[in-house]
Amino acid sequence: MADRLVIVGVRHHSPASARLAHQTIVETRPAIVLIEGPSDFNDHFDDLRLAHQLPIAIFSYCADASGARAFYTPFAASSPEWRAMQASWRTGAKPMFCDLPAWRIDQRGPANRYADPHNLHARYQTLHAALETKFSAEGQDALWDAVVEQAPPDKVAPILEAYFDALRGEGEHDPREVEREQYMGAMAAWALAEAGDRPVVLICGGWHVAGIRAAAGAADGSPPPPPAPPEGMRAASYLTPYSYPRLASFAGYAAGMPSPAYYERVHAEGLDAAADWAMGAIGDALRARGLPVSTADKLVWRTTALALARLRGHRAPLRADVLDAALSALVKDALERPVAWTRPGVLSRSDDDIVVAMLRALSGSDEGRLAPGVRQPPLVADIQARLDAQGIEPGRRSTLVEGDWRAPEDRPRLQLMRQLLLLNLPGVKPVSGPAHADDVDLREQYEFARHPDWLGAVIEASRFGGDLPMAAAAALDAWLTDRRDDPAALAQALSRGLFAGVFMNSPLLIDDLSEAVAGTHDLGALGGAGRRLAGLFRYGEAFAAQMQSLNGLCAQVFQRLLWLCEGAGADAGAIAAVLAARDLARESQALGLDLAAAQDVFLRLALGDSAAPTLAGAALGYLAARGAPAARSDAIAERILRFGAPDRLGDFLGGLFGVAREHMGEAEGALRAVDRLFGEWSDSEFLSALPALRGAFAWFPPRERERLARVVLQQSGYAPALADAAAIDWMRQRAPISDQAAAMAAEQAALARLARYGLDDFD
Amino acid sequence: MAAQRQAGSVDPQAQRPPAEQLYADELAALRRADKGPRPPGWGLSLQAVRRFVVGGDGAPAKIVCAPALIERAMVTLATTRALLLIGEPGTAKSLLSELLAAAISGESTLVIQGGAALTEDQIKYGWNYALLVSEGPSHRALVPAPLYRGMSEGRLVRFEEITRCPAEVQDSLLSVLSDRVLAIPELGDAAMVFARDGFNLIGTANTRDRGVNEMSAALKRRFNFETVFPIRDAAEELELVKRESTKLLARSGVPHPPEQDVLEVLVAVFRELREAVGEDGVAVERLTSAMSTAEAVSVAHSIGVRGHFLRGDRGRPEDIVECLAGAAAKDNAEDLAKLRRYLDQRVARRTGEAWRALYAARHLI
Repeated sequence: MADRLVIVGVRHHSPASARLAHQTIVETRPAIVLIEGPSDFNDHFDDLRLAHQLPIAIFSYCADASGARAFYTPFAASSPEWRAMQASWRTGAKPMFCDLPAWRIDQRGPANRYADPHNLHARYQTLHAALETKFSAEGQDALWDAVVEQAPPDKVAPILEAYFDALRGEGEHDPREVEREQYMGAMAAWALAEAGDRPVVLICGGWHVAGIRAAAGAADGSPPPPPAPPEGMRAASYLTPYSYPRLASFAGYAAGMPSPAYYERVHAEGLDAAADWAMGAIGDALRARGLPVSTADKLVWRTTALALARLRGHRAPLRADVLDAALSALVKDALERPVAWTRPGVLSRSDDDIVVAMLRALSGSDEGRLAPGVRQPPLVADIQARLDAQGIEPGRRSTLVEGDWRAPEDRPRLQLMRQLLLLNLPGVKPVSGPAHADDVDLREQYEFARHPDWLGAVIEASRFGGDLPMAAAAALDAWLTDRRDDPAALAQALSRGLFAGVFMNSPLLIDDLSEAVAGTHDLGALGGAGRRLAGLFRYGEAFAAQMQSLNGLCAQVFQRLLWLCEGAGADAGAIAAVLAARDLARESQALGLDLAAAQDVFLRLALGDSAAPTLAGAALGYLAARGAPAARSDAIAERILRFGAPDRLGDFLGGLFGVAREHMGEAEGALRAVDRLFGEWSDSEFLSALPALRGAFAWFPPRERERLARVVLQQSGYAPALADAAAIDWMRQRAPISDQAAAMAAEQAALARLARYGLDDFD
Repeated sequence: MAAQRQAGSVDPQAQRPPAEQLYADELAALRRADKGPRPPGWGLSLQAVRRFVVGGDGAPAKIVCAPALIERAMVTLATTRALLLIGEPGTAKSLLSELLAAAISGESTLVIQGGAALTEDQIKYGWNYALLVSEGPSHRALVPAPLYRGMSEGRLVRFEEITRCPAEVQDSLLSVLSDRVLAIPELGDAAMVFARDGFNLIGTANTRDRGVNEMSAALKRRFNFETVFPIRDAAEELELVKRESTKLLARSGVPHPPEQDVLEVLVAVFRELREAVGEDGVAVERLTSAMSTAEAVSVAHSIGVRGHFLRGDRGRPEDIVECLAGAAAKDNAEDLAKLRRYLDQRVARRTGEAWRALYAARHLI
C-alpha cells in the first residue's frame, strides 16, 4: 500500500516545489490529492475554485472565553498547495485538505499554518552552517535558491528528499507536531483505502514527510474523526484577500519564501527573466526615492550580478546575486547594519532605508481579490450581531450614539463604538469624548451612518481578525507599529486600547507596547504615558478589569523611566518623567517595583552635581514625596543653596515644586533659602532668573500662593494682620471679569481658527 | 616582481611582515593548484582569492568576515570601479585590503596613507630634485609614488583612510579612475602612464570620520562601497579576542591569557555597548567611541598585563572596569557617564561570578 502513497515534501511558496507538486500529480494521476491545510475547510473546498485573484488565504479563527486567535493558510500562484489544486482539477483527482483545523493546532503557536516546527531551529542552524559554507551562500534564502530553485527540474525531487531527511534527522519528532502528523497520516491511510488501487499524492511541508509516512503506515485506514471544537468555542474558516506584503511579513524556513513578487516571476518566467524584472523593480523603487540609478550604474550592477552568479556557480543570477550586486554598485554610503537578506527574520526598523526599499520592491504590493459569490468573512456578521445586541441600527442618515463612561450600562455600547473606530470603519464619526481615561468629562458622542463602503471596509478589516475585539486589538497594534518613531503614540495607544477594552486578551499588543517602552528615548513622552498608566489606578475604575494585564507594562515603564532619568542630559521632560515615577511608586505593591533601586537613582540625581537643575529638583521632589530622610526640609534648603545660581535656581525649584509641591508644607524653609539668595543678586541677575522662578511658583495654586505671600510678607517685617491683608490684595484679580471673559473668548476663536488650518495639535 | 623576490624570506626581526611574506608558502601553493579562470593581471583566480582570505578546503581563515563581502569585493576589483571599504574603526578594513592585495597582486605594499597633510606627489609621482635641476624633467628624475607604480605594473594600490585627505587631493584620483591614465605634463605631451591590467584601487574609510572630508559625488560614483561590520557572532568574536590577546600577551612576556569568564564578560560588555542593546533586548546608549573588536583585544591585553605584573594572577573582572575607562570613554566625559550608568543599572541585573565582580568594582571608574 505504501508505494501508492506519494508524499511530496515542499517549502511553502517555493516555485521549484510548486513545479514538483504539479508535475507529480500530472504524472501519477492519483485519485485523491491531500494537501496540508485546514480539514474543516473541505466542505467549502469549491470556494477555492472560483476565479480569485491571488494571493488569497484561508482565514481561520477560533474564539472562546479566553480570547480569540486568527490563523491564515495563504496561497500565492507559486504555492505548491495552489498548484496541486489546479493539477488535481485538471486531472480529475479530488483535492482535499488533510491537516487539523486551525483551532486544534497549538493555540499559542504562530498564526501561520506554514510556520516553522518548534525544534527545527537548532538542527537547522547546524545543517545550514555546513551547507552555506559548501555552497558559499550567505543566509538561508540564498542557500535555498542555490540548492533548490536553480537545480534542473529532474533533480529537484531527490534534492528535496535529501535536504528534508537531513533536516528532520532519524526518528526525530516534535511533540507539538505529532498530533498533526498523526492526523495527516490517518487521512493518508483512509485516502489509500478509498482510492482502491489508484495512487494518492500528499503535499506537505518537507519537515513532516517522515512523520506522516510513519503515521500512515501505522493507521488502519478508517476515516479519522473530524475534530469538533470544544464547548463554547467558535471556530471557522473563510477565504479572505491576502497581499504580497503580508506574505513577506512571515519569516522562517517553513513559512515560505521571502520576496513573493520576485518568486512569482521565477514561477511564471524562470530565473533569468525574474532577475531582469528584479533589477527593473529595484531600480524604479530607488529612483522613486530620489536615488540616482544611472545607466552606468545599471551596467555595473548587471555585470556584477552576472559575475557573482558565475563565481558562485549559479546558472543564472539568483536573488542574492542581484541584491548583492545592487549593494555593491548602487549603495554609496556605509550601512548601519548587515543587510537583511543575509540573516533570518523580517525587516526591522533599524534596517537601512535603501535595503528596505530594495526588499520591498521585490516583495511587490499586489493585493488579492476574492471572486464574487464567495462566502463572507466572519467579521461582517460579528459586527452586525454586536450592533444588534446594542440596538444600534445605522441608516443612511446618521444617528447619534451617546453614553457616559461612568455609567456601567453605557460602557459596552461605547466600547463597541471605540472598537469600530480603531478599525477605521467609514461612517463612524466621533463628535465628542474623552481623550484619556483620567479626563474630567467622560461623556461621549458619535454620529453613525451606513456608509456605501461599509461592507468592503469590514471585509478589509477582517484581516485583523475574526471578531471585533480581536480585530480592534490587532488594528491598534498595527497603528502602534506604524508610529514606532512617534514618542507620543505610546500614551495614545494606551488610552485608545483602554477605551476599546482590548487589553485583556491581547498579549501581542502588550508585547508591542513593551517593545515601544523599551525602545523609547523620549523622557517626557514616556513620563506622559507613565502618568496615564498610574492615573488609571486611581481614576480608572471603569477600566479596572483591564488593569491586571497592564501591571507588567507599568513595571517596565518604571524601570525605563529610571534608566532614562539617569541618562538625561537636559531638562526636557524631567518633571513629567519623575511625576510618573512618583505616581507609579505609589502603586509599588501591586506592581512589584524595586523602590530601593529607584531611591538610589534619585539620590544620585538629587545629591550629585551632574544632573541638570530641573531633573535634580524633580529627583529631590521624588525623595520628598516618598518621605525619604534625604529630603528633610534642612536638606532641601541646602540643595536650594547648591543650585542657587540665577540661571539654575528657577529650574531647580520648578522640578522640586512640580513633583512635590503638596509635600512642601508651608515651604518656609525653601522660601527662606530663596530669600537669602535674592539678597545677594544684582538687579540684572534677578531679572534673568525671574521667568523660571515664576514658572516654578506657578505650580502652587492661588490659595497656596496667597499663603506663601503671607510668609514672605511676614519675613519682611509685616505684622501678621497686615501681611494677611497685603497677601489677599496681591492675589486679587485686577482686570475686570468681563475683560477676562473677552480675552478667553478671543483665545478660543484663535484656537478654532488654528484648528481649521490643522494647527491645533499641540499635544 | 619585488614581492616575489622577497617571497619566502620573512625577516625574523620584522615586527609585522606584510601578508605576502607572512603567507608566502600558502600563496605559492594556491598559485600552483589554481585552475580557475583569472581576470587579466590577477595572480590568482577569484575562487583561490576567496579561499585564501576566508579559508576553506583546509586553508585557515585570515579574517572573520562574510564570504559574500569578499565575493562582492573581488568582483568590484575585477571591474572598472574601485573598491571602498567603509566601517567603524577597528573592523579590520586595512587587514582585509592587505589580504586582497597580497592575493591578487602578490604585493600589498603599494600603500598611500591618507591624512590631512597628504599631497598629490605622495600619490602619483615626485621628483628627485638634484636630478631635476641638473637634467630637467626626465624619467630618471621622476620618483614614482604608489599610484604610478600600481598603474604601470598592473597592481592593486591601497589608499588608507581616504576621507582623511583634503577634498582636492581625493579628487586628483578622478581621471585616473575613469580614464585609467596618468598624465605627466612635465615630460611633454606624450608622457602618459596607461594603467595595465591588474591595476585597481582599494580605499578604506572610517565612518567615524564621516563628514570630515566628505567624498565628492563624482568620486563616489567611481567607487563601489562595501561596509565592513563588527563580527556578528559573539562566540567567534570571543574566540578572536582570546587568540589575538594571547599572542600579544606572549609578546609582552605574559604566559597565560585572562580566564575565559573574564573574557566572556569583556566581550559581552563591548558588544552591548557597541550594538546599544542589552542582553535582554532593552536599548542601552551607544558610546561615541567605537568599542571595536581591536579595542577589546587591547583591553584583554592590558588586563593580562595588569594581572601578571601587578598581582601575579591572570587578570580579574575588576580590571575590566579600570581598562574600560581608558578604552571606552577615552577623554569623553559624556561617555564616562554613560558607562557609569551602564555599570550601575544594567550590570546590576546580571548573574554569574564575573558579572558580580564587575558590578562590585563599578566604583573604580
